[in-house]
Amino acid sequence: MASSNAVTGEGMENQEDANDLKFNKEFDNAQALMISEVKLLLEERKKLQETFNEDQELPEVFQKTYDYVQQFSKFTNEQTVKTVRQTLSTKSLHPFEMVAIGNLCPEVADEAKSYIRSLESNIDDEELQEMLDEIKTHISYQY
Amino acid sequence: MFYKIILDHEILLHPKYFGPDIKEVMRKKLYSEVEGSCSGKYGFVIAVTRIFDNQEPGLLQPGRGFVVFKLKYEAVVFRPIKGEVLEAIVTQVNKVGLFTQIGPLNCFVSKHCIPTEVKFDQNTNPPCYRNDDGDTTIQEGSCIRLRIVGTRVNAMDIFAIGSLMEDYLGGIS
Repeated sequence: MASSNAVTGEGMENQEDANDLKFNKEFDNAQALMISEVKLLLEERKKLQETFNEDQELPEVFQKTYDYVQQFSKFTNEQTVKTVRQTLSTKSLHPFEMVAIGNLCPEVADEAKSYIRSLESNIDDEELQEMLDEIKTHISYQY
Repeated sequence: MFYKIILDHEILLHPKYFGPDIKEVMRKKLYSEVEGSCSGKYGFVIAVTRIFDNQEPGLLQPGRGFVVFKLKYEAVVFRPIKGEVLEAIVTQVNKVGLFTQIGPLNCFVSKHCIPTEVKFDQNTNPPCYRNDDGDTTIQEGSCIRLRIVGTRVNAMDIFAIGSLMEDYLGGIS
């Protein structure tokens, strides 16, 4: 059946590209979240479910995402997440770039610029390296 | 990328729910109708984090008695964006490539998007992709970093295509 493969909103799809920091306008007012932040929010949501509607299970999409963020969250507690956010916002980076750095935690500036190509023109290597080192320190001090 | 975003949703309520706990009914209905849904525009709606209180009055449906309420809520959504690098879990390995999962999203990496020195090895158990020195092994359950090179958006689902053809992409410990 052709309809099951129908591509919706193809026109805007083609413009979107993270490499040039081009995003759909629907997300202009949305806040990009790090995996660790999502983890905190989902844990809260799960707790709510367990207190109020024990009989009802959360959907599969939730469960899959929950498992994913548990596995890939780099920061283990709320305090570290906050400090990392702060570190990331000291430089004038795009929210997408900040979150991508926080999610992937690259070791060196070259690695970060390879993942997030827009960084190439937005920040120089020393500044970026300094930031990555600071994040690494936060990770090693978290309990 | 995950986002926190404000969305609206219309809820159709039967008159039997019009009572003291109507708010609770609306809340539950919103949760069950939007969480786990997926659209091309906003991606996967993972969880509702807040429902805004200043709701407009509902609109009575002529001739039916049902009422439509427009609810504004804040949710965590996940939307793959072309060009972003994500971590994924390998779910299946075969000669055409790798099938991976990134939370709710399924992502396929064709063997043409895997560096040529990393070859498919059918004789290992489980089968894997590895290079000759053996320092890269990608098998079922491995974690890899990939770049999203394209997405296909169906009415109710999103599917992504990934690539490993770059420095720093591929297996992670």
